[in-house]
Amino acid sequence: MKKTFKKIISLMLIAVIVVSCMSLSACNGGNGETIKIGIGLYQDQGPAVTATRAFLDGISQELNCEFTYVTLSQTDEAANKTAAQQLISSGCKGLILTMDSATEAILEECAKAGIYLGGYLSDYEQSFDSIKSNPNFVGTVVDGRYSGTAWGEEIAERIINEGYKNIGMIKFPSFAFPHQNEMDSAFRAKIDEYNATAADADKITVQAQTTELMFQPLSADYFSANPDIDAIYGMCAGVDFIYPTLTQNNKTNIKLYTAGFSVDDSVLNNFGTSGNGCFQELVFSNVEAITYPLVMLLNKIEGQEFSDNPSEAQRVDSSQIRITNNEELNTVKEKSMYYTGKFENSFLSASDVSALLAKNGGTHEDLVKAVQSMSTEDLEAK
Amino acid sequence: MWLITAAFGVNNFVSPIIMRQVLTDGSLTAIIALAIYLQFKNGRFDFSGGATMILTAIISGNITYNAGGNVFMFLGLCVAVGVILSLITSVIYSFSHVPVIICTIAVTLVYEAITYLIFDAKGLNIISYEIAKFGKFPFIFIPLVIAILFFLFYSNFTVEGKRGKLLSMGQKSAVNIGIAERKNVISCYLITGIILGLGALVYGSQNIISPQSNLSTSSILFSYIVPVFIGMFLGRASVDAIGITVASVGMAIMNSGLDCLGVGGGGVQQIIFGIFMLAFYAFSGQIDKIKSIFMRKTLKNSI
Amino acid sequence: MQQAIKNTSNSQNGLWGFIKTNIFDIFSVMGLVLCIVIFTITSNGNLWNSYNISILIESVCVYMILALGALFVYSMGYMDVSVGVQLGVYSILMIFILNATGSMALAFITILVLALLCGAFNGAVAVWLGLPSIVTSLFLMFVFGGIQYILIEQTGSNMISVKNYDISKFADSTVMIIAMVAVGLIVFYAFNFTKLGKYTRGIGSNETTTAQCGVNTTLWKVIAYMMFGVCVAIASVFLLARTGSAGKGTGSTYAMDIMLCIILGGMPLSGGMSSKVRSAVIGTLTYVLLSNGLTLSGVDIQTIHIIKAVIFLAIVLLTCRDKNKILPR
Repeated sequence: MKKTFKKIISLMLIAVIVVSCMSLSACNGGNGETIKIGIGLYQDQGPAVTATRAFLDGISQELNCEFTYVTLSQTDEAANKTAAQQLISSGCKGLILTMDSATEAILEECAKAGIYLGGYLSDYEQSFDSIKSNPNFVGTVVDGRYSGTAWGEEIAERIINEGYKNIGMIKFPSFAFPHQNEMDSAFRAKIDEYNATAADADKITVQAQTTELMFQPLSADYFSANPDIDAIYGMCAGVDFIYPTLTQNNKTNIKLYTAGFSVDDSVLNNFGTSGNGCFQELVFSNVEAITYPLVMLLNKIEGQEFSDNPSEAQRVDSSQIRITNNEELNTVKEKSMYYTGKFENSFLSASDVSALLAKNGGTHEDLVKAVQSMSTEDLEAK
Repeated sequence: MWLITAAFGVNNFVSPIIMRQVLTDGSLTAIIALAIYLQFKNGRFDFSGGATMILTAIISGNITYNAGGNVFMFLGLCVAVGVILSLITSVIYSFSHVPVIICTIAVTLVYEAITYLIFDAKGLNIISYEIAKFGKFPFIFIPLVIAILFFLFYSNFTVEGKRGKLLSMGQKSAVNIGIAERKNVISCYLITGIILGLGALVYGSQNIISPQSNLSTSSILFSYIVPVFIGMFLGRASVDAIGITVASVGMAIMNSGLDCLGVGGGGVQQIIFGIFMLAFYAFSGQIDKIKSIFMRKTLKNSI
Repeated sequence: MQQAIKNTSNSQNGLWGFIKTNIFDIFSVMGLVLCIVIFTITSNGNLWNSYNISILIESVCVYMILALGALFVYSMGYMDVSVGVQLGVYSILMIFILNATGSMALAFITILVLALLCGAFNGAVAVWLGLPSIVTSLFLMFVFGGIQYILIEQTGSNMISVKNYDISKFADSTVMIIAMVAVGLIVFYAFNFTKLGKYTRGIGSNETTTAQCGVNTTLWKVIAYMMFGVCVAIASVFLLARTGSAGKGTGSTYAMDIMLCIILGGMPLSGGMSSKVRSAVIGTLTYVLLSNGLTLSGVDIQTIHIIKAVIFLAIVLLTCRDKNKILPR
């Protein structure tokens, strides 16, 4: 019995090793001339990951690139450095990372290996000033706009137009998301401006002190402390951190204007005038924005430079998709690569990206314009 | 907690919303704590409980949703999948002769890895659907009552449940007197599977679940372990299942109170939680000694 | 009688007898060798390039020092789930002290004292209050987790970096190798040739019997936990040296990773006489190689999880089996 058991286990181990070997060999099928780029994302699954991979797969052949993926930790710098080191070790000539974590240490590794680093949907808030002159850093594309002021004002305008009178304010802690303070202030300023001239009955009350979520779902006592609110401005990821509590406490009559997006039907079927109508605004950045760091990296790797190349690394805004009504949601479902996960729905084709390279006559201005021409209006016009 | 919150000027602690939340949170905690405790009671620490629950919720929730099923289909599937996964763990453990912690850690890694391979690694998000009804007040009491009944039935009215006590007190002696340990393991995991299935039903109805990796489900397990320790002590005054349920509601009251005080979810809450757990456990460990000192004094005085 | 016959037959069979007696150790070593062979092939030789060797040393260093220290605790059949958050808090404290004073000695002594206190707390308080050691370790996990959160929150940022001191000299491969070898030799000596190793293994085998032999088990438990504390303090220095920064999640995964390393090395978590220093060494190397090799070989992220899990399951089924009649706990 025992011998049989050992044999079975040994066979199992051998089978695993053989299967692993076969899958690994299959993975190594690429030719040696392609440029290998390492991509570090802070999630290992989800629609953003699927769409990013689909986009990069779609353009890889045209650009003669090969992409290797790792998952970064949101809180562990050492783990992120290890991930970056492993990408370098596997032969990557450039890295695109979504986390500003251990960035200076990673750039030292890049310098040692003679490779480059770019940022993707991250403002590199903590390290940008110290790394922007680093020759191995090619710049980053921000998750939307660097300043939160505009979105705060836009939401305030919507709230005023749609007639909500008692507004809850929820965000993540300032130490982690400093730009949410700008959204908060801009929103309050706009509402104050409105209240200054509005009749008493039309005045809007805003939650006096914004609730900070410590990366945990909203607590039920929020409704006990704020019993009269009819809408919430969720500067944080409200789909994951606010909506579950609203549902649990049968408070989906409260309207939610929040950052983030989900392809899940439980969210989209309750958007606008559909379902419980809780969600009134969702916002997401386009995965095609990765074009910015990718093109900057490829220029560096190939020894090319834009005619208008900036003297130091840039932090470039990207346009976002703001979904404010059911028609826009339908457009997103039909045409956005983030939702469909299909390269055919991409804002940029492989040849579009290729044309942005310095060697093909592209300029930095064209590149910035490309990542800033992916708004809801652009999507509708597609 | 009410007095503390009142002292800090918080006057909304005893409100219907918070009380409802306390009972909802307490019920989920109680179900999971019962599953952990059932293995404890039989002398084992099952590391795979969190992973079993998460995988059960993902499989059952997605199947029910995709099939357009109702809440009872979700309930039935959760119990069935929970039992199947638990039985797989029990068979691996009882036939491999690998120590239970190591074996269940290995199983945890496999179950976590499966969460990436099924349903396009989407996890589970059904919180706003009708099938999530058992995660809400007052329906949440149905899975809680079922879990308590199964726990009590197994522990007090089955031969295997009683043999489990012998095995936890003296494993070698129990085996030597002829208790079939393997049978006990499988039956115990069967009941644990049912309770974990009920836990998955409630957890999946209340939370958006993402795929898990690198033993991250152990943090789910550890976050529900404190009521087990407290409940074991409280249970000495009545029935252990009731002790765990009361301890779970007590922990939910504490958490809500800290939320009301504005220290929910942050570092201060963690520190208070740790101190409370240690103080409670230390006190319960010393209670017999304190009792015996008082008994001796009373005896001396009477002489 | 049967045992005597068995022994005779083992000695007569020579090599076969050796293999039979050390079958689990052989499987652990084979696991490591297989990892090396497979990843050498699948990584197109990248596993052995000088850069990868240097990053392997960097990755192994923290795990190795921790696993060697954890050996004393795990050999008693106990575990310490607070080690991850301890590493995080010590890293942040070191940054505070280094930025304020520039003195590495002061920073290290501070965290060493704290680590020793935590060790003493884990070992002694559990015995004095009659608590399972997991409870004190859970307590420390909650408290240190909270402190780590508060410390980072105070900085008004997601992380904090060393400014006034060149910590990178500790990230040098030579320094790391020296540290690993030094800690390894000390642990090897303490575990195999001193009362500490003998008694911790004794406690793991049967605590009551060990106590009845006149051993002050409380004292040795405290010493074992303090020994682990020293290793945690040393590992914190090398962890911090890797990035020069720390945040609210620094170190968080190490408690579970160390457990996986030790199990992969073929050591049962129930401790006892079968605990060996080589389990920590082999397990750590296998664990780090698995992560490194799979990434170098370009395996898909989602596939890495299942490959690691199945390999882990297979290795523990081969190396951790207990031949007793009763089911091991």
